[in-house]
Amino acid sequence: MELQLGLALPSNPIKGFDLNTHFYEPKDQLVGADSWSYGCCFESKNNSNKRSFEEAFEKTRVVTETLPLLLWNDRSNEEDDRKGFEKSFSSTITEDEGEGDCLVGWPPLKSWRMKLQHQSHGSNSMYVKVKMEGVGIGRKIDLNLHRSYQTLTVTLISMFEKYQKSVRGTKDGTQYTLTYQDREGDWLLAGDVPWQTFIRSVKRLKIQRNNG
Amino acid sequence: MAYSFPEEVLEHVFSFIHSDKDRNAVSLVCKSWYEIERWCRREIFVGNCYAVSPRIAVRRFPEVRSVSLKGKPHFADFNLVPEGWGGYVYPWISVMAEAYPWLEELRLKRMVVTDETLELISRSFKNFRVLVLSSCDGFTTDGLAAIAANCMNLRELDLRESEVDDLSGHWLSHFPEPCTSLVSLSIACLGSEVSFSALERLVGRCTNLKTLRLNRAMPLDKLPNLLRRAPQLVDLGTGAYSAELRPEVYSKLAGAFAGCKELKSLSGFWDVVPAYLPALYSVCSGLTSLNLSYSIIQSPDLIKLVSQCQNLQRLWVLDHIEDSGLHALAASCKDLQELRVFPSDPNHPFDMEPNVTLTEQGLVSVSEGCPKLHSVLYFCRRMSNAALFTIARNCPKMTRFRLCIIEPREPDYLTRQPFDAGFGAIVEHCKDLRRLSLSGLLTDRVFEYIGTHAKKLEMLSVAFAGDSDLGLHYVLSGCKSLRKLEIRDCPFGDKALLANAAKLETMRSLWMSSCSVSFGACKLLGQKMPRLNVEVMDERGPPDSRPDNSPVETLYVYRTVSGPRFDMPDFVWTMDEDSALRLS
Repeated sequence: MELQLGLALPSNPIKGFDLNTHFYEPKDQLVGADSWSYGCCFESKNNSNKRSFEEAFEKTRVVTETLPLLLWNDRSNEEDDRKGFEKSFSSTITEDEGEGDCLVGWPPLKSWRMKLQHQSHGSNSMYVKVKMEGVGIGRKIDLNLHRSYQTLTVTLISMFEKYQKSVRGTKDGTQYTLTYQDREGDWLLAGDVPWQTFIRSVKRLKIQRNNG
Repeated sequence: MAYSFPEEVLEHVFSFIHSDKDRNAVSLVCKSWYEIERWCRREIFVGNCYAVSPRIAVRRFPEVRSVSLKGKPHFADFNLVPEGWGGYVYPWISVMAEAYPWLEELRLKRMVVTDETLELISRSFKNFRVLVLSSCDGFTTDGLAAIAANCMNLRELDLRESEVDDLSGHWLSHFPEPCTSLVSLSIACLGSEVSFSALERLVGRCTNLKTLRLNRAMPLDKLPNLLRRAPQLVDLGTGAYSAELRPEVYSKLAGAFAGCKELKSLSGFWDVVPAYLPALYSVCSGLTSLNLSYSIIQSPDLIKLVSQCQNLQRLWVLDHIEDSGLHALAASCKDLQELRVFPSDPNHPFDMEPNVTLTEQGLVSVSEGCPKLHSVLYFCRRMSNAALFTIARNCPKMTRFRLCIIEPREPDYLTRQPFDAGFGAIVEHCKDLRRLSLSGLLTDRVFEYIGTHAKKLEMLSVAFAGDSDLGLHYVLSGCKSLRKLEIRDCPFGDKALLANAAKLETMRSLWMSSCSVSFGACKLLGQKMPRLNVEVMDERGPPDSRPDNSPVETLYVYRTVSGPRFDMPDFVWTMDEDSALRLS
């Protein structure tokens, strides 16, 4: 086994194992553990087709070039990378963690329990899944916290804002449409029916990019 | 042959050995024991469905009757594993359908189960008896209808905390009239109301029914009828426990409860109306388990209830119990072994005053009053090292200790110190500790204590803790019995991971998300350790589109005898030998 890494001072994290010719040395070693900002850096993959492993890796250069990602600085690893690793991934601990909803999976409660406890607080909650076209990971939203399309839209915009910026780097050019799947499984345009009707029939939401 | 027993004798002897660990030890004695043991093994437990392929499993154990399988990582419970990650049970069922026509029991946890799979289960196994789906998803009530309709000998259907797409409440009426075999039916996770007449008939004809857990959609006024049909019930989960307050409803309910002399476990109590709680009092002295964690009951009502339950061994409750309620619990329930206290308002902003008084004092009281306490899950907003010292001294028999101080990196509220010493005391005094979850402000020192003392620790959960690789190194190099380690948001990185690579082969799995492990280290690990599957999960796209020293979002490592899995979604990359070469 070649993995003989003595545990040394925590100043030189990568030196000492075989592949280190490939590595740059980050100046600072507190690597970005800034979990809830990961959403900011989203890959530009805009097809929803799955790629094979080979495809994914052989075309990396292309993919890299289209990675627009980081529009703002200290939250992104890629930005650092582009600068030739001059900057390190520091500031792991962002202070905005106080906003509980930013912390995915904390406190460590099962999601159904979170849901349930929401429900117990007065109005029954109603979680549905939301996906945004071109964004691999869906979210969930409690529709019962909303009373109109307007507040729902505002929430969705803030939920997916970061992706909108990162997907393709298109800032304002792209328009999005909110669609939903009803109990019968049909996809419909949100807003075409009254809010109460919508609430009764919606099963999941999708934010679709308008072509052109 | 060093012994003279005929095979039949050995087989008979082995039949008395039930623990998997012991059976595994038996099979290592010699080739012939291995052979005999594998032919008479009736139960298998696979803690990670990707650690072995179904073909390998059925080839080694041809005569299995009971299978337990687990799929997704534990952190999936907390929404940290994106949808589509994997954990599909279908490949297992399709192989077992061929190999195990006499399979009787299936217990699945965190797996994706489709209706097609349920259909296949219901048709493939002639004498199928037990289906437990714990935190599973991917199926609807149509799949359940297939199980109900086709499994004539079904004894147990338990949906635990599964996420079922609830298409219709009529699935229950698919249990055919001749079906009288049910011993346990748990449908608490379902959303919509099941057909009550079908349920009533089913409960009436299954005279051995011991466990019945209803869902929230079941109204309280239906409960007395059900109870009168099933006075033999041992474990009851009520539906909604609310109704307009009327004396006749109350007396019917109280009468029905009084008729259930065997009741030992109660749960449910959604939307509880406290005025109906005294209807339970007649059964309280027999109760050993009480799950009130779905019910908002204020402390004074809880105190009255809990004081009736003097033989209670397990209590799950919301933080509405408050310190005063836990104090009463400690005074009246001397047999208490397990306590879970959940936050009623988990999304409550960290900086605002909470609306309930639940602090370290409540847990300290219970640790003082309940000498048999050995399992704790406790969510609170305030803790001190002094309290942890006391708890550690009071409960040396603790085996599971999970403490969640809700605000990350919160220090001791008295001294503003980290909790290193407090958790250190827990691991030092509780020699049998098998499971530990850490929270609050912690430095590398706590991991030094854990590595030094927690020799029986099997599962450790860490979040927002530590300062360097040293912390992880202490744990990996010190905890001899560690099987599962899950870490999020800690500055642990390559050195500790690579330095202890061999340790990972002795463990079931390691999860690290938002830590400091570089992509290069993951590649190296995958390359050098062929018996580990090293999977990188990254929402940002292929990890090789970033430099090698760039940290990966999530690393999930597990040992396997069947190589990389083939069902990875496009946000998971495996670091095997080939891919590492291709990438470098």
